[in-house]
This record gives sequence, structure tokens and C-alpha cells, in this order.
Amino acid sequence: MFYILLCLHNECCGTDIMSKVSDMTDGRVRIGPGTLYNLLDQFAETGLIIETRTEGRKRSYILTEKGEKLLRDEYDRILLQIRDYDAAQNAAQKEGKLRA
Amino acid sequence: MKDYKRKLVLFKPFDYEGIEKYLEEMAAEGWRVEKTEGLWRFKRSEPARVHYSVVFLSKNGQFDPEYDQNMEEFDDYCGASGWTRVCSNNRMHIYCSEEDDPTPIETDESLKLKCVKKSIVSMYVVPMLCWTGLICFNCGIGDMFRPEYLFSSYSNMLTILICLLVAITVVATCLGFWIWVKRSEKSIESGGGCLPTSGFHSLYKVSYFLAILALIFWAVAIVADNDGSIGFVVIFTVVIIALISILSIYLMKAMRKAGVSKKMNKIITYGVSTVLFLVAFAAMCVWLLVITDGEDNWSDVEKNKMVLTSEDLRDVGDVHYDYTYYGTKTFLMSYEKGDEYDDIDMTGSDDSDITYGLVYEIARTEKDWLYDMCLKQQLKNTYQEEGGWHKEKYSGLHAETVYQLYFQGFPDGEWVFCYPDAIAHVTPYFEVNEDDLKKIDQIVYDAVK
Repeated sequence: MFYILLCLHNECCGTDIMSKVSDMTDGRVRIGPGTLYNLLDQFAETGLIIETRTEGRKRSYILTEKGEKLLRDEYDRILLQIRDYDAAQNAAQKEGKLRA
Repeated sequence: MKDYKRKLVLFKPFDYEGIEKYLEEMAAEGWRVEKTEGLWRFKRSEPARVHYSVVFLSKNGQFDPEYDQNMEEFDDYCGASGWTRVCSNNRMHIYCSEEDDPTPIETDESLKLKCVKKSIVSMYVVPMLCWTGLICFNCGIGDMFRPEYLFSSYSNMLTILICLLVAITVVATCLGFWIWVKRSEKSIESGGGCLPTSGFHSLYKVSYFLAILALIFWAVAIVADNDGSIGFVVIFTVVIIALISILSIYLMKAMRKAGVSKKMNKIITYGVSTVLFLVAFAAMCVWLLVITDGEDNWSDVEKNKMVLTSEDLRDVGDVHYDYTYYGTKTFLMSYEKGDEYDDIDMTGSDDSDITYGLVYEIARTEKDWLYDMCLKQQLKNTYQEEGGWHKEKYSGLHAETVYQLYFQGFPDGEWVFCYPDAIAHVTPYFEVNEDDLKKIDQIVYDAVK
């Protein structure tokens, strides 16, 4: 979900999203076409993205303000997790030094 | 060497894993699936390692155009990941990929479960439960569960057996599906994926084979039970229903291929099938009329089979009577029903004409449990608190016990005679006295002894 929204900062269609995500993550994250299709549908229904144009059978989308906010919230949540992780690691290291 | 082969493939409707595995095995043997409607069609090819993926799309129903924008867009997405659509059946779509490690079509288990759930509920659970309920209701209103109807006719016994088998299979499949959904939801909540869909596969196959086998026996029994003619009408009905259903499916598919809109497809398919059913029903009524009334001697043929008629008790004069007779026999019991009725009322004749007529039922069985069931059925009180059956005391009768029906304290003119191994239910349409009862008793006794 995070990577799909991330790709939609700029207008793009479903097939572009799949290749963008793969490039962005060096093939680490793979999004199945069925999952992408259903998620785009859900995002459009909930107003996170909006359909911009249809070329033949290609539909392009872009993030809405609501979608931008959700992506930002998700980013902040991940940052907080990283901060918590770092803090926990530092604390564990200090404790280890003291013991030593 | 044949290039194509057709196979009856039976899988639980939600067993996508079982289907994928089966298709991969077939491809490895050199058979690629091409069609999954009715008998599955496989085309010969080089044996290869092919990945198959069964996808349920809740958006694309059986009336949607085959190549609508949604489906084409979905095909494009799958194509970009190396998957090609092989065939579709309703909301189930089969894709294949010859890549070594293709990205699975569904990478989110929760979304996958949601799609499977929605599709299976609309394409299997709801229609199958409705059909099963309708068939059982139909058996119920057709008095199929009356012991004397059920156990005296092989076709009725087989009908109930088929209905039971289908009902058990449908209910068990729906229940199995519900349990699978609930357990998969729990598994996904705790970080896992959907649970395996296989299990009870052999049992599912066996139940369907049994139902098909019973269906064949049923067709034979229905002809044997009903002296041919009526049996053929029933078989004709079933064949017509099957033909119209097949025709409707083909029509619907042709319209899907032609890109007809969902709404229009629904209207035309349902409209055409309704008209065809009505035409078939009218044709059947005409045929039945020809069979039962068209032949001059039909009524006389029926009369000769009757054990008891009002002529045995009264001088009926010149009044014309019609007769219908029904009789069946199995190793458990025999049952016959005769109905004698005048056609004066129908022709609007003078009310002062004295007319007779009667209806009787005779059930014969040596099985005590069946005898008790039949007696209980015959002594069913339809008047509730306003009436009931009373034991009568008549002397000089062969019957061990005689019951008469009473309504609001008055005799209602319906008798049940109990003999060893036989029960007779007689309803004369005229007043009878004790001498008449003795005659009835003697005639029935002679017939059943």
C-alpha cells in the first residue's frame, strides 16, 4: 500500500506502478497484479487517489490531498518506529558496556 | 492421437489451490487447459513446467461483457507480470505463466481472501442454497415425504436420495467454505496467510458421482414405476429444463462475447428462458391432455384397474364417470390410489342429478414400522380441534379396526380399514350405510388378502 501511494506522487498507470516499485526497491518488493488492481480500486473508492485520464485501456491515477496526508502519516509512523528502534538499540548498547 | 480431450473435473468451488496443482500436473503431462465450463477441455502440448493461478474477481460477473475495460486492464496488469489468461468461468479466471518464478497475482492475503469470499458467495453459496431449498420445498409440497408415496416407488425413493445427496454436498461445501474463511481470517490477523483449500476432495467427488449414478437409476425407475407414459413426461420435463438451461447459458455467453451490456444481457437471457419455459410448459400440458384424455378408452383402462367403484355399491345409472388410477410397488410396500368422479358438475348439469363416485387408497406392507407410519399418515387429522378419527365398532367385518373421521361431532364419511399388512382409506362421495361398509370391507379384503 505504501509503495503504491508513493508511486502516485506523479501521475501513472497500474503497469507503471509495478515496474516503478520493482525499480525503487531493487526487486525486493513485488506487488501482484491482482493485489494492485484491487488496491487501486479501493484507493479510488476511498478518495486516496483520483483517476486522471484513460488512454485506450490504460487508466492513470494521482494522489489526492487525502492520499498525500495518509502517505505522510505513514512516513511519520515509520520514522517514529525507526526512532524507537534506534533508542532501544542505544540503550541496549549502553547497558552492555556497563556490564562489561 | 487426439489433440484434445475433455474431462469431468470436480473441485470444491473455492479450492483454487487444488485446481492450480491439478492444472500444473496436467501441463507437465502435456495437456494444457483451454476451457473450464462444463467438461474441461485440454489441448495436447509439449510437457512443460507451467505455473497456474486461479483468480476470483468479484467485479466481473457472469453477465459482464467478456472483454470489458476492467477485464482488459486486469489482463494488462497480469501480462506485465508474465501471466496470460487461459480461460474464465463466471468470476473465476485462470492465468498461466511459464516464467521460473513469476510474481504471484495476489500478494496480499487479506485482499485475496476478500475477493474469494465475495465471488464464491455470489456465484455458488447463494444460488446453490436457493436451488437446494427450492428442490426440498418442491419435494415437500409434492407429498414426496408421505411414507406410502416414498416407500412404494423406486423413483420417489431415488428422488429423495438425489435431493439428500445434493443437499448434504451443498450444505457441507458451504459450511466448509465458511469454516475456511473464518480460520483464514484468524490466520491473516496473526500474520499468516489463507489456509490450504484442499481437503475432503475425494468425498466431494464421490458424493457427486453418487448423485449422477442415482440420477441414471432414477430415470430408469421413473419409466418403470409409471407404466411408461407419465414416466416419459417427467423425463421429458427434466430434459427440457436441462436443454433450456444450456441454451440460456450459451445465449448469455454469446452476448458476453459480443460485448452486450450486463443489464441487457440479463434482460434477454432471463426473458428468453422464461418464454421458453412457458412454451415448454404449455406443450407439456397439451401432451398430458393427449395422454390422459385423448384416447377414448383411457378412462376405461383406468377403471379396469380400480379395486373399488361406486358401481359395486349402487346402481349408478347412465351417469358418466371418469377414473384415474395410480399404483406402484417396491420390495417394501405397494400403494394404489383410485379416484372415481362424475363429470356432471363440470358440464353444469342439473344439481338434482344423483351422482356417486369415490376415492380410495390401499397401502400394503409387511414391515411393521412402515405399517405404523402409513397408518399415522392416513389418520392425520386435518380438522385440528374441530374433528378427529374415532374407532368404530362394526361386527362381521374382516378389518381388525375401522376408523371414521368426525367433524364437529358428526361423521364425515371417511373410513380407514385396518387389515393385517394392509390399510385402506375410503372416501365415498355419497352417504353409505352399514351394508355398504360391509361390501367395501369384503371387496378390499379380497383384494389385499
